[in-house]
Amino acid sequence: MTSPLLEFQNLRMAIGDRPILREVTLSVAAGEAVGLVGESGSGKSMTVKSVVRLLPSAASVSGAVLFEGTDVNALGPKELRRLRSRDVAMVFQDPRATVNPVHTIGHFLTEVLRDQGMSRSEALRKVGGLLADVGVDRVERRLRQRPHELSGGLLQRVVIAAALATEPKLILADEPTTALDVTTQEEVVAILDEQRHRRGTALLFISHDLELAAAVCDRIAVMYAGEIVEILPAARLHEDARHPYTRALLRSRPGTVAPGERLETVPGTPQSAADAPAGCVFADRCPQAEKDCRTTRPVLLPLGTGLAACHLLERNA
Amino acid sequence: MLEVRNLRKVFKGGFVAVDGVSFSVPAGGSLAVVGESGSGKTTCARIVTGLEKATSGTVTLDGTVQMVFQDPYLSLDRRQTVASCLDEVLAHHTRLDRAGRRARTAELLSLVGLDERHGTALPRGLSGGQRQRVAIARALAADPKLLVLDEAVAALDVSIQAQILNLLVDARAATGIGYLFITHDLSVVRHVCEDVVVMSRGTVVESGRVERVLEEPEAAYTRKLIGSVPRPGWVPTRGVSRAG
Repeated sequence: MTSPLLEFQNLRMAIGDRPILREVTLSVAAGEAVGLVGESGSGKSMTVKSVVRLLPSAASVSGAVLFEGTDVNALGPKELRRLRSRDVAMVFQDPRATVNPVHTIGHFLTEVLRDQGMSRSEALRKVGGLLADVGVDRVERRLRQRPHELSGGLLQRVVIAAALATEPKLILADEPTTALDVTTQEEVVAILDEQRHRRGTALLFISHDLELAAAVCDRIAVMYAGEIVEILPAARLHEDARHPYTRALLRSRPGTVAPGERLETVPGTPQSAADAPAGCVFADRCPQAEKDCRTTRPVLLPLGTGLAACHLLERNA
Repeated sequence: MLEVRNLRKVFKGGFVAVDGVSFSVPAGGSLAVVGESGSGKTTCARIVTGLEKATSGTVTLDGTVQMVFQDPYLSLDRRQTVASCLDEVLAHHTRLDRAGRRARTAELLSLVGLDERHGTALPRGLSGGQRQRVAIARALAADPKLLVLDEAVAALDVSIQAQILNLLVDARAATGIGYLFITHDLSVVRHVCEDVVVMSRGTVVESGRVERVLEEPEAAYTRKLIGSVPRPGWVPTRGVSRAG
């Protein structure tokens, strides 16, 4: 078995004495797409940011984040810069926060390539081709425009083109379509999917939308309160989900029951790593929690087609 | 109970946001207005609630209307406790004395699944879902005949969204209030509405009973909208071919 492209090994993170990530162990193979799903405060974004060390300065980290076998926390400034500008690309929720509003689209797209020594004309030719790949029309004109002249959907395609420009091995996408209309979302994820497959780029895709993540990923990792509670093949999400939290998430969407019938709800509100109980992170809200669920931490164990961290499942396995 | 006829809204600069839009909500009914950004759905909601004036057309409303917005944090006074916020609305809209208002406040809190303890809290001490419950309780305090909900569950986590949707179903059953749901989320429409109006670029492209429109959509735009909702087995596709 080849070693994974990206590997989180018992990653823990705290800001001061407030835990943010309790323990994250997950791997992404070269060319693989993994979806990280969960509710707000579950630590999805922090997990992804730890790959490129975009963390608050007060954050203390233990465990390892290995990219091609090297711990990113041990990288010097030069290697870190290379990792961020070449090997790993990022796409965030709000494209307007990513693209410098005072420069042209052409400047934004060619900046990194020029920085890497490419000539202006060659860089422009390359990004023109990328814009066409991601479905942007009137490329010449777009390159001269500024961000405010483009719609959100168009600007997010520009950000994806920028992400592809350095031919990265991994794209980190944090809710890349959440701010977009649903028909635009379909276009953007279809483009991301198509270009990623064509180039063999791996993807770590954060979403609160399980169905969306399942449609663009090979595997799904479900996070709650700073831990991964279940990992399973995306195609088996509905059939094979075992963890009470994953099942509750799947069942609480309207559309899973007949109109007007009561939706299944999870009592309480989503917790962060700091609020969750010492044992199983989901014990406070789990309808089936038993005594030792609150005190003893379950670990991710193979179960069916995936992995799940749950005492109740261990017992019934 | 709500009758909107031939609504038209032209903003300064000549932009036509809403053009020839008609719909109605029967007493105790629930109508969804769905569409994407720029469809004019929010402008319609703002005209119905009087936040915006129509350029032409009529809005006939039998009773009072209240509105719940997407972000409850922006619509609550951050210095006011939950109970005092509800009390203020009751003092303004009802003839209840102090004791009556206190009893009604407790009733409203329990209707939206909060308790007395939450009554003494400030908005910053509440979670997003709890704040949206407060916003709904405040809207219900005025005893309106119609509640306009503008993307009121869009910003909530899915487990909290389910709680709020159940609450809205319960509140309608308990009070006979009518809903005008402004949303982009078709699964929410299916769950809580009987009728739906689909808008695109300021006009109505299709309307009818929810099950008919969602099961057998007639307009191409409705079909596209339904087709782009992620669901089991969904494969996203590019509508436009590769440009350039």
